[in-house]
Amino acid sequence: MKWLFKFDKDKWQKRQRQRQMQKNLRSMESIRKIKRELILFFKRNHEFFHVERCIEDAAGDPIAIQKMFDSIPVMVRDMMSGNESFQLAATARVSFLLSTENPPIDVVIQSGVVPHFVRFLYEQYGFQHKLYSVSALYAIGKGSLEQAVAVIKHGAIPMFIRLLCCSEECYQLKELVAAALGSLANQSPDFRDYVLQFGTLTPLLSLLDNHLEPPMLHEKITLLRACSNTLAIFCQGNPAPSFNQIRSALPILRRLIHLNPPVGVIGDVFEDACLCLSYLSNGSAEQIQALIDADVCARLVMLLGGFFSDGKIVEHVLRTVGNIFKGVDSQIQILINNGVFFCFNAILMHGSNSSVLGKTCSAIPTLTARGRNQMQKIMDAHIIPSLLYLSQSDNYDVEVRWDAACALSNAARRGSNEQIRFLVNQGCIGPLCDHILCPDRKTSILCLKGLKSVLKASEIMHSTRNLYTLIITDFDGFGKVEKLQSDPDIGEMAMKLLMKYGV
Amino acid sequence: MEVTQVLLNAQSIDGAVRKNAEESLKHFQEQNLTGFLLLLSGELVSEEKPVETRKLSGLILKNALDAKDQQRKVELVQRWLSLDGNAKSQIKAGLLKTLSSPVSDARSTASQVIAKVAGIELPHKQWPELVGSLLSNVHQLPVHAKQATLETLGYLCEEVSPDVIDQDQVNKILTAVVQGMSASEGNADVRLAATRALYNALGFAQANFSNDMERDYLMRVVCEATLSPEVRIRQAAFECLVSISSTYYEKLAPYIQDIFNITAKAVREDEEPVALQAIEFWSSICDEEIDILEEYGGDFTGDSDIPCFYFIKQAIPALVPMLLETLLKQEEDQDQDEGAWNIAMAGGTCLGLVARTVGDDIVPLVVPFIEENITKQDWRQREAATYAFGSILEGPSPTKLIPLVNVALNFMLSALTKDPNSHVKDTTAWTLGRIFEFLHGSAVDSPIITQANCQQIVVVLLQSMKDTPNVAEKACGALYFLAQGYEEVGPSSPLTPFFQEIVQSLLTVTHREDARESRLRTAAYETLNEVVRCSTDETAPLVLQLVPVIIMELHNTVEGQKLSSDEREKQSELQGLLCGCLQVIIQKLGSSESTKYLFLQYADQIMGLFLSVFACRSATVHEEAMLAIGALAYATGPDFVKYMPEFYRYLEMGLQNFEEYQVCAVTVGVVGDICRALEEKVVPYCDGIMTQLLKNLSSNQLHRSVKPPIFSCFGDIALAVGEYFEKYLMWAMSALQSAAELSTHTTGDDELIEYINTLRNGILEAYSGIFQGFKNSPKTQLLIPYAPHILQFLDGIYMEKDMDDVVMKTAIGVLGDLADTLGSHAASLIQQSVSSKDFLNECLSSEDVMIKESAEWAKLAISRAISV
Repeated sequence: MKWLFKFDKDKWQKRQRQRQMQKNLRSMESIRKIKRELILFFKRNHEFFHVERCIEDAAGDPIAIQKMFDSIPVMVRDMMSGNESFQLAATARVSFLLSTENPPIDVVIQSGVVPHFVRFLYEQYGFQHKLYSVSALYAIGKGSLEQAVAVIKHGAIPMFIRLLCCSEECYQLKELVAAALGSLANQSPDFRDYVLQFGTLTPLLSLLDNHLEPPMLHEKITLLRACSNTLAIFCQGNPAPSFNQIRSALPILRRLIHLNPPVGVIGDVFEDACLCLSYLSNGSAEQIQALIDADVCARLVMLLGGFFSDGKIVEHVLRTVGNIFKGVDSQIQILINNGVFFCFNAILMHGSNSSVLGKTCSAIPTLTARGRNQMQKIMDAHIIPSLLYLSQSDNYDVEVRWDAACALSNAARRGSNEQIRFLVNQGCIGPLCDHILCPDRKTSILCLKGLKSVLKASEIMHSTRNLYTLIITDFDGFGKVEKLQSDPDIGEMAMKLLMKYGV
Repeated sequence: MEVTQVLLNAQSIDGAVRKNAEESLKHFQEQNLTGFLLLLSGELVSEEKPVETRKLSGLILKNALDAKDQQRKVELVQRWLSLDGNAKSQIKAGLLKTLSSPVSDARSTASQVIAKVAGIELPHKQWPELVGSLLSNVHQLPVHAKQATLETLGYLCEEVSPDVIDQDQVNKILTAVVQGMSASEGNADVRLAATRALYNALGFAQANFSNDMERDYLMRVVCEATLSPEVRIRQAAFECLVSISSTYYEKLAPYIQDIFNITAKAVREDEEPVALQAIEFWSSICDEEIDILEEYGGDFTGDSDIPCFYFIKQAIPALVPMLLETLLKQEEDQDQDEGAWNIAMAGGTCLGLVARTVGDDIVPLVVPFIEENITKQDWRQREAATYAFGSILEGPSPTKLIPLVNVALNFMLSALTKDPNSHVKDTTAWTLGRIFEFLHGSAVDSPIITQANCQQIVVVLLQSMKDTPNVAEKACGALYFLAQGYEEVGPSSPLTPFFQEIVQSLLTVTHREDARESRLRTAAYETLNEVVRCSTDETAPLVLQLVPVIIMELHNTVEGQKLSSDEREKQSELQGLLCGCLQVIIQKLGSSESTKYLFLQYADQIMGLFLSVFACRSATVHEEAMLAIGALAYATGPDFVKYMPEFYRYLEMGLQNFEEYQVCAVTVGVVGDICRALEEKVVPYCDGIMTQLLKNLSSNQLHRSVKPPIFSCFGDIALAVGEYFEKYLMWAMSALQSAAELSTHTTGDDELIEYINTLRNGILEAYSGIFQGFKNSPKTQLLIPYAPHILQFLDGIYMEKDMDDVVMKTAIGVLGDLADTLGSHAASLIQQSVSSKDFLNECLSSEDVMIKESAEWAKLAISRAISV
């Protein structure tokens, strides 16, 4: 009785019996209320909860895409609303549209949502918000220069950097951010410098640095690839970026070119790193010295010794080597000490990739241009017979023969009389004559100049009889030179040569 | 027909004779109603007839005019109104004539019948001369007729509503009644009848209570009547005072001192029925002031219609000692009697209300009484002290009470086991329960239960559960609140170490021989449920172990043997407790994925038992089992479909049972649960369900409280089956539309407005469900024709300005759903609506987060609909 205050016996007894039931009923009712509201919530926010499926269904369906395209105004409204699920669904759709074949970049920019994409990168928004927004900004940044300006103008870069620095792993998001930064920097050297000026390089490098340890999960590797690709973009361009701004990349690059095995996506990262080095090496002796100090040379030369199917890595390395050949002698000597010629020879003798062979041939003139001292080292390394062989071999692209011929004629042009004698004794007059009528003007000119140099040396060495004219005649050299007389550029040189040495 | 003989036979002790007579009465009534009623009134009025037949004919007449069942009542009223006018006049004249009969039973019966006729006719402006002729009787007739006339006036006032009688007649009635009450009236029966009539007439006296002179007079007469030498008059007069205290609280200030003196005297000196009413007066004042102060405390500071006069606050120095005195007037063995009610209990109840009214102020007035009496030799003193302590635990601040409780707790625990008197133990256990109810839980800053005393408390309570049934019941109650206080304790509950022991003890209690007849078994299950409900993950394995135990108990109840109706009632009650317990367990274990998985191994077995419980009855379904099935459906999810073939007929049976409207309402709720569990798998059962729901709605016998859940259920079904709802759309929309029209405007008391809002909410939930169910389907255009009406409904209820927050949230959600589903098809309609502007804006700036959230969503949905 005392549980109740008001006295009503009948009511009380009834209530006592019903109390349990009532309590259970109330508990069910509160569950029902929650469940009903939950179902309504899901239905009302259907677009959001099903956005990924909608997008999946629309992909490749032009009608669905067009329909989505038509509802851009609705999406814009949704993005500007305070309802996060609608924002998200709309952002996802817009970013999907931007990823299609004909992205409606201008429509999107004009609708004024770019600042909202940037806004969604702030901390308070969820991962999905950020992901779709970055993806949209990435797509816009890949557009025309004017379109890319819209991304920069609304302050996306500092937000991108914050996302790169964020302590959570979120590989996928960071990968997109890195790619977006790369696409902006890729617009022009001005864009590149603008992006770099925010200090973008440091977080990019630490991302690379922090993700090189195993286990190499797939998402980790693709993140690395995006970073290395963007890093390569940062390193390239004309005018080149200020070396001081990017030299901090060297230690990471050294690590990257030690990745093993350089296949698949890792191979791409590796290749990017080699590309970066080729850009970084393209500069002053100090710049080259920085590379040497970063201790990359031994590894680079070693890479020349291996054979990679696509040859891209070797090509980049060859470019780097070529760049270092432009440095001072001591720098070149480091490559030689590491066996660069041995590798060259190996490539020239056993290589199968025409592009690699061509690049290798092309690296040699750089060195021959450095003076007879360097030329002698080439000769001592038995590279000339390889070049001779290549210049006449039918096993490769015709360009390879031309490149080999150029290398030979360059040597002939720069060499001392003794060295020319050596070259002639090795048999290099034949190739020079063979390629004098080369459709490639550069090769043609070089061969003409090479012949001229050989004839000049012979004149000095053989005071009585110009022995080499005989050899040239054997190869119908003069006959071919004759045909060059009408050439507007080198016709005169050909004519003079005929007049002086012609038989 | 010799009616007198038949009526006598109808009261015969010989069953066959009685049955025969009843049948011929029934037959005659069906043959010729008018003649039958005339015959009965003739029997009633005739002085030659025996008193038994006169009484019985009056009773049959009365039953021909009124019935408890609402539907039946409406039929009877219509039937009376359509009877021949002459016959009715003759009957009414006979009734009035009977009022002056020398036979008191005949008079009394006639008064009641007159009131019933008046209850039908006066609202239809018929029988206008009734009040006049009654009043003229009062002034002329002999004493016994005067008494009967006053009694008739009393019944009349009880039967008709105040707006049916004009003020002039009210004045005359009151004058006649007050004259009959006054001391100058020599006859006690007349005074008593007048006083009782006044009790019923008080509701008519609004105007008179606003007039100072008239009110003074009325109050004086009532107060004088409390001093009458006749105890029944004194009791009736105090009943009037109690009624005045709640109806005219704000008019009492000038009289309160006098009333206190009168009531104090009555409490101390008068006979118990009078003293109880005198105490009830103060309880009633407390109720009023608690309500007013609650409103003060609410959002509308000082905005209450009625100001608080703080009568109780002013009275406590005298009132509290008076109430404390009553506590010492216990009856022997009152603790054994479940229905006991006496001065001590009324005094304690009033003391509790006073504590709630004045808060801290009561503490210093009661503490000395407790200290003085709690250790006395006489059990009455110990019990009174404990009761006083228990009574003041709700109201005063915890800061004030906790120091007292900290001192008292150990004493109480030891009294509960050691006091030699069962009554003291009973009250001690109750007081412990109150301590845990009001001063234990996450809301209280300084805990009274610590690691140090928790074990002791549990041990003492479990021990007391072996005591007499009344003490054990209170101990269960205390344990209930002990568990409840730990509801939000976090991952680890202090009760965890004792969980197994507690559950075991409670199960033991349910098996006590003496638990069956008392409330003890119910209390034990109730406590078991609370212990389970408030348990933490730590004890989930133990709760899981409880499942087969309860299953076995329930299994034992369905073991088939023939039962008497009394036994059947008992069986059903126990099944109710066990099903309720299973529901709590299902919800507990179903709330986390890991325990749900383990629980589901029992699902088939449990469902089988529920079906067996249903099979125990033929006419109706078992409510508790039905509700527990709803809980089970959430746990099983779509797998529930395997039970549907067998379960469906009980579901249908529950829906059909609108006589027992709670059964119907519970079943409607379970339909919703099943829709959510099965989703589109419910389709095969929808035809039957929807047919029955629509049938229920169209019945005027359906209790109104079932309508809102039926409408919500439409929404649940539509959400589950989506465009398949097309089949029922037209019917459902038509039912919704007519309900919407009826519930747009509200007139009536708070209760009705509350109901209307519940109804609106149900309708709106249906609309939301239907719109969202159809969304993204090619059939959305089917909904377009209904949009204008729905928007009109939204506009209508908005303009009415009496929506509660729940309706507001649902309504603005419907606006959004309409826009969301119909999109551009409804754009211009939406833009034309008031709802999309003023209502939406009002909701957007609402302080209620839920409303605001709904509104923001609606705003977005509308802007999307418009922008395409």
